[in-house]
Amino acid sequence: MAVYAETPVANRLAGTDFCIPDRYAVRLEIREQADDELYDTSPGFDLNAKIHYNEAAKHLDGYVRNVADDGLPQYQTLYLGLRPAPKTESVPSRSVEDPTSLTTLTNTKDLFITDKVPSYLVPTEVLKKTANDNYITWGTCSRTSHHNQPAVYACQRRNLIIDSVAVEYNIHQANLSRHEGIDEFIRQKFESWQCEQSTDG
Amino acid sequence: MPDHSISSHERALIDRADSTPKRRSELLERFWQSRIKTKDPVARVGFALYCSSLDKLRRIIANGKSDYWGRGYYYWRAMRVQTLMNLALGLEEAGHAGDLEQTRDMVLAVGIRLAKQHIRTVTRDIRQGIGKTPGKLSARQIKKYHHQVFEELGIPRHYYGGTSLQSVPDSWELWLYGDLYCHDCDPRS
Repeated sequence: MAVYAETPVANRLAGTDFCIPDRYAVRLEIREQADDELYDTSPGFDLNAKIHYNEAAKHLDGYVRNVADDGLPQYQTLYLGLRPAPKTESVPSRSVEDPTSLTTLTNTKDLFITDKVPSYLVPTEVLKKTANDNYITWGTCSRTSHHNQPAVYACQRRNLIIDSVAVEYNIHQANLSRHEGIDEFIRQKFESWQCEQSTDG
Repeated sequence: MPDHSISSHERALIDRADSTPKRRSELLERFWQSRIKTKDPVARVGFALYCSSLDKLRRIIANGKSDYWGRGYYYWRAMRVQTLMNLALGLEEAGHAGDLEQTRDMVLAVGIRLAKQHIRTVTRDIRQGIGKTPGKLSARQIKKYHHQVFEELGIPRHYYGGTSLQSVPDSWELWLYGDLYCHDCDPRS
């Protein structure tokens, strides 16, 4: 009989082969109406995950662990929001009429903000330029710096599709230059979170 | 249907509160009082926590809509005390112990971070058309951004919503505190 070893079935993401180990799992325990399969009210998606900042820093060269600016720490644990992925096969391209109107996001070469002057705490769409010069929606960034100060952004990576799971996570400007490495790191974590099947007689 | 969007005035209040530590208390109170007018579900506990006097809390609830507040003054006063205690204990457990004044300043700093996340989440909810009602967050969205802010500070997650006692079963907490934010939240996220 096949059994799922080590990881309790309770941490299995419904309809997927992923089981989030206890030390990464964040149970939400929320009373919601499970009336829409597209959203995270689906059974088994009452889970998010988190990867401690020390583990991220161990695997990602130069990963900034703490970006405190108000006397309290701001540890950069990767908190992963998990949802069933949309049924389309890949993230659709985004048409850009005038690429010169885009502004390169600080610390990156391939991410662009669509607003010239983003307003304070207003999430602005961020596009990623792909290898074949198309653009896809990468996520959003919000300016968190005050008026008349150099722009500092806090961003949310969206649309990271790993098999049938859509992952989103927050990333501070200090770590934006490592965004591809972070995506890859999360993919690797999911590979290691496959529900291990063993034959048990 | 009320407009749940964050006004430029509300953004400005938090921008000023963020850059002016001495006025944080007053500006956080004004921010959440303004959000009460939009029937923002999070504003109840936000205002209860950051209002400058219990008299003011009593007046706002007495003059407010009972379907919005759900429960009366004594419930929200208890929530204020419980939430303050959770935050203070959580900060201490995360290694940020201080005297009364320092703890008060830290609670205000956490309040700014939560308000900033709230603004971003509400704005994103509207722009991305998440849920049934634009700008009205679900329990999941609210819980997630609280978790994120607590993770940043090193505060264990169980200090969010409910008692700070891990020994109390989650099912009890859900029964007791389940409506703390959300008897009227967006049912979808």
